[in-house]
Amino acid sequence: MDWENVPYILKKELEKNFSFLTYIFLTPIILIYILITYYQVIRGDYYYNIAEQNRLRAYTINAPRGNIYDINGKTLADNRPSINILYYPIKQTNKQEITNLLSILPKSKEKLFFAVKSQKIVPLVEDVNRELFFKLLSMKHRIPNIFISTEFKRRYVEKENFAHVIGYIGELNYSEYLTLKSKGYNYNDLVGKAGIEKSYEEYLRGRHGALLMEVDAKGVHTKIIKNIMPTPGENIYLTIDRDLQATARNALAALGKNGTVVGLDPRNGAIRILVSYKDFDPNIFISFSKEERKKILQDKNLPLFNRAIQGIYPPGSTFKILTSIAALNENKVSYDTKYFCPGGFKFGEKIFKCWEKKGHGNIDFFNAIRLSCNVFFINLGLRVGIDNIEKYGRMFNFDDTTGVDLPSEVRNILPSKRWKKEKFKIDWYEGDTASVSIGQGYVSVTPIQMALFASVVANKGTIYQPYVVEKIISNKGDILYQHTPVKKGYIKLNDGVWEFIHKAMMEVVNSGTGSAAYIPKFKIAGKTGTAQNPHGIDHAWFICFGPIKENETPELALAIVVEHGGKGGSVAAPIAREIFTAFINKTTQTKIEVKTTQTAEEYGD
Amino acid sequence: MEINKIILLKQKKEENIIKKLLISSNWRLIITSFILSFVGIVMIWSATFSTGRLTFVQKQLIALIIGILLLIIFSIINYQLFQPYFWQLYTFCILLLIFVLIVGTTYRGTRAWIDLKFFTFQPSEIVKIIFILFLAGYFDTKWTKYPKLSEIFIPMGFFTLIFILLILQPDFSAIVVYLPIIFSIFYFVGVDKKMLFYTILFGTLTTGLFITKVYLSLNEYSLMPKILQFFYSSLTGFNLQWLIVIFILILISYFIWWILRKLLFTVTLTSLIITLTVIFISYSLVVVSHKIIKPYQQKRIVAFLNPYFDPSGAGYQVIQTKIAIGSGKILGKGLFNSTQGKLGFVPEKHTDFIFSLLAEEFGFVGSTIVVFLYFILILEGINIMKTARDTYGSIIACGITSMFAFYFLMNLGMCLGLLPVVGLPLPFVSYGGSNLISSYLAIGLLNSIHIRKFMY
Repeated sequence: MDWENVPYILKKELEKNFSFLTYIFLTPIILIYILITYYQVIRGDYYYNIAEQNRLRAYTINAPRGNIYDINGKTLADNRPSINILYYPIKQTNKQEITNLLSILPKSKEKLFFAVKSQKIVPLVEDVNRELFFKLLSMKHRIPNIFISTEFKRRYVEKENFAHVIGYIGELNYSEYLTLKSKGYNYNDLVGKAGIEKSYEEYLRGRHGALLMEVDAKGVHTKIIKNIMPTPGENIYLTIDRDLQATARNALAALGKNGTVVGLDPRNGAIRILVSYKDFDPNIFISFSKEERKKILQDKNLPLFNRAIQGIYPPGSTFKILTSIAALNENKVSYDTKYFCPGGFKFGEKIFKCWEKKGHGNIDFFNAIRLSCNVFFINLGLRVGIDNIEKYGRMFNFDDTTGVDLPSEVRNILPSKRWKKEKFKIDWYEGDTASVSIGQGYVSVTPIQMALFASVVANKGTIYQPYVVEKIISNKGDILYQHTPVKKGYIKLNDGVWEFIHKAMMEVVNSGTGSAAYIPKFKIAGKTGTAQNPHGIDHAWFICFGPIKENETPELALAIVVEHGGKGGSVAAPIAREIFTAFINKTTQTKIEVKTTQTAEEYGD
Repeated sequence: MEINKIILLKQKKEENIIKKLLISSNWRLIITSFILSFVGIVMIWSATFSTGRLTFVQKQLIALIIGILLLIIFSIINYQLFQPYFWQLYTFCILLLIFVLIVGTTYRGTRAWIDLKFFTFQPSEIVKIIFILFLAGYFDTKWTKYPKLSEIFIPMGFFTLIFILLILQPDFSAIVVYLPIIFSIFYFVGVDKKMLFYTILFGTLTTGLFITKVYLSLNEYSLMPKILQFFYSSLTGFNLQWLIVIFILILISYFIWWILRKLLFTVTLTSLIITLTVIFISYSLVVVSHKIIKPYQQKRIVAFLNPYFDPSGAGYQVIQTKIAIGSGKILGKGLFNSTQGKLGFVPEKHTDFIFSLLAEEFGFVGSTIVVFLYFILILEGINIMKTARDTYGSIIACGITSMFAFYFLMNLGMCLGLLPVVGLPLPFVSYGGSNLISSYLAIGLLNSIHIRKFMY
């Protein structure tokens, strides 16, 4: 009926219903609108990001790692291309294509069927060999859904020779990943684990590129959004000479005993040789062969251990040079000083035996060095006192590390009164001085320290910071870093001291305990050492430098240790000869056959 | 003389009729629906862009033209013509629904469509509007006295018949829209509020218990606390637990009734008994619900309750549509530039989730405009309801307005992740010829009511 005719009371009732219904209809609309505002305005960015995550997929394009070269530019570590074959069903798959593929790659049947069924990218073959690769290439037009992706795998060209210097790369462990994540590392990246690969990781790694793709709800790629090319890593040139390194390594390997050779250039601190044996082939860490890796890890010879900078040994008689320098410079003795050697030195209950059982008799300084007489030097050491030995030890860096740019170097142990009191809570005994003066007892050194010592003696007092990286060059050819020699210190000695030491050490090689290192027409100065150790046979030591020419600094200083090798003169010195032979051949472009004129069997030390 | 005057007057009337129609039509209403339809076509184009064909757009345009025609026709026709024929209208509804069950084609599991070569037509959309006309006509005759108890059962009975016919298709989304129509008309017309209370109590209790039951069934029975185990058992069978729960509920209800009486609220014993009966029926219904509700529908409810339970499956739509809407931010990503929609993360973007697509492509600006348009539409509907010439018009307007409000709220609720996916369209915007046509029919009726305020 017309509203006009509705009874008043009923009309009032019904009008109340109007307002109620109005609210019922309109209020939810307002609430909905508030919710829309919340989602779009307040949380808009949040949802936008999720939408982007839904539709974007980022794929890392790995950067090729920087190469490592020796001083002459010979490749030591580079990258070899590794090709993976992927199947990506973008275009329609026909039976012919599948048959073609299966005829070349019969083993990939399962993966292929999965790819077709699920419409997803599937790798069919990883690190395909050349023959297979070219076969596939030649058929490419008949297998349109094949996708070739190139990766780079690290290759250590020199294999064992540079194992410890260069190190190797491996997967990130969890704590490394947490630290490096912010620098742009992905969880499955490879990072340097040892050696140069580790200490120069920042230069070698390059920067990843990225491929940003859009995907739809089924995961099918629709288009490329961004393609960022990777930045290749920078190339590192080492100071090491590949040929000298190989010679040193082979010499050690031929002996079949563990040991190390460190070669320094006394003119600037450049490391020319750094070998540690037992070693390993770092390529094993790239090829992911679990059995091989296990073998290395379980090898009792500890091949992963870098004896050159981590090994710590009593220096034995090589330390006598330091004792000599201390004594001479402090004017505790003169060049003419003589002591009597009866074949041993009795100190309280203990007898320090000399190498010459019958004793050297009355022996002077010069010959004491030449023949490495223990008794002489014990007398000398007691005369000089541990405080002086410590003082000169500090000067020559025996209380520190060398600071070479390789990871995990170990510190030498230079004993002193205070050191002993702090460590063992007992006082220093004179007997300790006696041991230390002949390089036994508490004193312990790394082979690189002895090489440094040899080079300081060689250049008469300048301590150059040992370094292993000569220069770093970017992929485009820019020189990013060029090392200049760093003087760590200079030791001024009284007039004549250096000359005396040089002469005496030359005679060691000419006619003394180190004569196995003698090379005709080539002057080498050296000192043998035979370090007694509680674990068995003595370690064989030999430090040396050469060539010795008028007014010229020697170019090469060596420190050689053969673990449980026996006598330094008979085992370590010949290695020095081999190395210097190679050195001469290199520098003079001649080939010399060297016959030993004297073996030093009779001379122990 | 008298007859000549009448003839002249009639002629004048005919000339002026068209003018008057144009002047006195509710242009706000009509233009709002036009703009929404236009928005709809643009969004459908964007949604179906990847198919590379314009078939959807074309079909929607055709339906739009038909709709506009119906709008004009029903504006011209005086709605009051239908008033005395409400029984016939009802019969027509029933016959049409039976017709569909016999000769209709099945699509997506429901036999709800009549295939007419060029397009398929869904009769339940028309039945909806005609049922409003029926209800309005029916209640208008009862206007002289307050409708009483019996009055609600009879119209409910009429609806039940339609309900059954729709269930046989089965088309739940068609059924569900009747509820707001019926309740708003009942409320408006002055049906006993207590009856409404009982019905709503029944509805919410049944739905609530059902959802609880489904939710509990998700969890591992043995890991539930004892109370929940007990409760769950009471919902799954006519067992001891069920008896105990009913008994407890009887006690609680009695207690509340007793307190209310002490506080001097007049609550009769009859009310108590009826309330208890309602609770009993509701609870029992839930126990046997698993026989009525199909597994895929149960899954949908599960997905709604916990979209992350199965994020790649049924819960997927709930999450993705929210992301689509939010990611539009303020200005949107631009036409055709949706990512959630275009790349397939949001499904059904030309129908159910068209608002999500719009929100993603046109941002907060776009969604504000659309919400605003619907707000105007509803407001106009309420206005027409209030200012109609007669009560018959008011009831029709009430039904139609509640229908539009319901569709809008349900669809947006679904897009915003508030409701499970119920398959209700957004009027004028969603793709769907039958829905578009019936919406314009409804607008035409509203307009007719509006015009007749001034004309006679």
